[in-house]
Amino acid sequence: MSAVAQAFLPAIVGRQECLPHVLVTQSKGKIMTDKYAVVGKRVTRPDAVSRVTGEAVYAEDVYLPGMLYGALLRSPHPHARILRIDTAKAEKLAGVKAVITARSDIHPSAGSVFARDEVLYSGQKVAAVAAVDKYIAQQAVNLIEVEYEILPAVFDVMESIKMDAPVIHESRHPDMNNICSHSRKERGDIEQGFSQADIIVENRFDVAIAHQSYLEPHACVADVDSAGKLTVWTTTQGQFGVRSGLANLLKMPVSDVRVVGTQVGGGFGGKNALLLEPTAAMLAMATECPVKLVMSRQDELVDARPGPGCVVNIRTGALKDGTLVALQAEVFFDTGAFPGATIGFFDRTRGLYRIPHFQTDLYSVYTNKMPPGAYRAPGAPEITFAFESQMDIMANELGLDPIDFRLFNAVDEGDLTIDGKPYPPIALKESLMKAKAYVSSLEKKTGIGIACGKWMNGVGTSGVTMILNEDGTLNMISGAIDLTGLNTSMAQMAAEELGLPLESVKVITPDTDTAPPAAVSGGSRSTYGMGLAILEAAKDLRQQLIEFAAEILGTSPERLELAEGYIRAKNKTEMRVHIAELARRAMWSNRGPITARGSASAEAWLANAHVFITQVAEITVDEDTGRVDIHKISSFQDVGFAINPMSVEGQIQGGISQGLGWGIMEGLIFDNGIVLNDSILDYKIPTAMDVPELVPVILEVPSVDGPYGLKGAGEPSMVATPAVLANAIYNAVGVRIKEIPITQRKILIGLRLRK
Amino acid sequence: MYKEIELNVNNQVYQLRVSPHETLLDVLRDRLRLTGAKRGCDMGECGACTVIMSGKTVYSCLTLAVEASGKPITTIEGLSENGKLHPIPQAFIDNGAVQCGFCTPGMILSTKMLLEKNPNPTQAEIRAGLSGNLCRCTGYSKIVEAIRDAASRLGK
Repeated sequence: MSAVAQAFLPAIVGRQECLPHVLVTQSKGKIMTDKYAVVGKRVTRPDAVSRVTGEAVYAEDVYLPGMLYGALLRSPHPHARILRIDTAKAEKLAGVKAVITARSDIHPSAGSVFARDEVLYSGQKVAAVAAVDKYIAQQAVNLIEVEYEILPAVFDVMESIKMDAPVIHESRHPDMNNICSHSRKERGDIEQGFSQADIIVENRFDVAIAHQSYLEPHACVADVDSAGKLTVWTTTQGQFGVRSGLANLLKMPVSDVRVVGTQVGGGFGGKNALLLEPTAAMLAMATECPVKLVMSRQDELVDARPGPGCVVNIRTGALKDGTLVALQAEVFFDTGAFPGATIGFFDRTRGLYRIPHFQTDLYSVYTNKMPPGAYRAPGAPEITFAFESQMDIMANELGLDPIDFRLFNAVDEGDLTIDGKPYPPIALKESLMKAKAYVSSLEKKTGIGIACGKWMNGVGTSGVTMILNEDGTLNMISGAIDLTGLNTSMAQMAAEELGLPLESVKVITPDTDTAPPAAVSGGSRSTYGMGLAILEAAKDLRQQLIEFAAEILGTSPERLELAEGYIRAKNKTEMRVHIAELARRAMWSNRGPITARGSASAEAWLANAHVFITQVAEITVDEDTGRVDIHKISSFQDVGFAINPMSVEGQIQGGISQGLGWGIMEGLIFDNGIVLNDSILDYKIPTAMDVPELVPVILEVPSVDGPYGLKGAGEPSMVATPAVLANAIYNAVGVRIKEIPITQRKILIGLRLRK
Repeated sequence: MYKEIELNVNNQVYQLRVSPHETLLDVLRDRLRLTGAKRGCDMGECGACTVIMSGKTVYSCLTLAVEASGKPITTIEGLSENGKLHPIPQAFIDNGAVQCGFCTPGMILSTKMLLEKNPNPTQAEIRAGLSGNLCRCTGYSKIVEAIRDAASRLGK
């Protein structure tokens, strides 16, 4: 443990209210938890009650009078020209109210709208039906006749970039075909770097496309009133994004579109963008009835927005003593038929080691497959799998312990990020040292994997309105979607700032007509960005209370403070007035109700908050069958400050579990562009039997600008898990698999080849 | 072609005319508006539609409504009585086992039957008992803790 960490050891004792197996440590921090009454405490979610009783309304639970059911016709071909669509038979079926196809004024520039002249992937929407029930709707879809002319297609990114490959869209690169976007980061002189190196290691890694596999498939209901106002109930991580998307696409004023974000049955990035909503809206417009559209699990696997697969070519050089000197990498993300793979955020996920010379090129490449979207720390699990496998391979070549090798090269405060800015205080070394101490305490010395990861949270458009009620309770209005506990953390922050009991704060999430705009609940941004808005609103509300109290008490505001539910004199506490009294008097006096607003955003989207993480996996591999048994995965993760440690632990455990899925089980399998494992039976996600004990170890190195020093905790836990499993498998049986998911079959082949 | 059935759901009897192909899940949701049973896969894999029928958990998406006629059915809406939460959902809340909540109704009903058969299950027995219910948010850790907690609450 570093001297710095040791100096703050007493803080560890201060946070022992956490579960015994969850060690919360606070290091380098200025924040002491007992300073706070509400934040930093384990609290249960008030809204969980509606989710255990069946009351919570998810999108498919919305039923409207006269509602019709929609169904979609999808392209069976990965690339074809549409020669003719004949909807006559479908229209004649009793119970069918509308059959629609591409609108001439909507350019087919994304998978969320109908294909027009050409289909670019199998599963792309071609037509839709609205009918009185879902069986008739499906029957009608089967009656639509489409004549296609099959065109040549390409599915593999490395094939697609070849100059003689079929062109999907115009390339943004002079020497490579089908390049959708390209981003380069570099420092130093890459040739010089490699010329210094004593050893150079070069590898290729492959990552399959993985579906977020939220349990709730996409669903929405659209309705248009006689004045032309469109309302859409939908399962989305960001209702305002859906509103702008629909307004843009349908060429409607934003004020004519109302989006009601329902409860969301899991998103993980897969419900960030438009998907079903435009079709549902067009069906509602065509029929003048409300229309419900629900995706089947098969629809999900053929045309949702999964995490992109990629190919990573990486070359690294180091001195004999373990000093990294050069790194060169090319990453080719598969963006399918339309832009969707996130590649612009390399700074967000790398910059763990001091490397004087590097050059990285990230490309997204068109193929004739479904476009991807975001999946929990988009791009990071993929890149980290490759880079952290490579670190293990290097350590092995150099004869160094993989933890010591990482520690030796690890960045710390003042070192440069990928984008060349100095790091604020960070926790990489500390997380590595904690992992090292843990690993040395283990009796078993094989089957241990280690991997590090990095992530940065966003800020995003954030706004809240606070209304102080006449009994001193607070209504806080937010437009951000609560996926798994945001509203509880927000209530904690508001209660903390206003000295209110937690149960006095109610967070309300109305629709886009009523709530202040908020960005998507994604990018680990929500608690951070919304927290900043809350701090601003609370400051304003506090000041208003103090000024009003000063009037009533006949003193000056400077002499007053907010404490224990009262505005009171700083020196003599008997001069005081309760905030409920102030709220009541304000409401029925010339003063008027006490309300406040707060907002926050960041032009650059990302906060200066760098989350580092080290994971340790303990596994065994059956040498006869290649079967992996995972015993335990521990995650040493910096969260800046845990507003609700119980919720943070849940985020970390959930992320590890998804990383485990991608690491050893999950990946879409294609045959000439057709998804073969298009059911949950064939696309297996981890069950309770597959997931071992998951141990979150929360580290708290405060962020510079975040509320209470917090950093986004939602995504980072997933980043390192595929890599940690790959490294544990190598440590167990000496088989290095460079392709996720690392299925039993791949390990078995590796074991056979080894012998 | 329709069939007359009598569904006994949460001690309430409903007389319905259904098509033979309608599933219990369709009828619970689309007709009775008991939407606590969730449609996650519609093919008996995810467990989100789990209900208790004649003392056993069933996937309501794989059960035809006509098969369910006359049999006592408990859905999540019928679990808590007199405005007081049943100890199992309470344990789920208290242990942070509810994230998105979509798997939760099915998980809770599976837990109820698991604990009725085995009031004091080991961690391995809990995990085996839940293997028909998928959860994507929690990594199962806190669900397992909640079930241990529920077992001890019910044992008291």
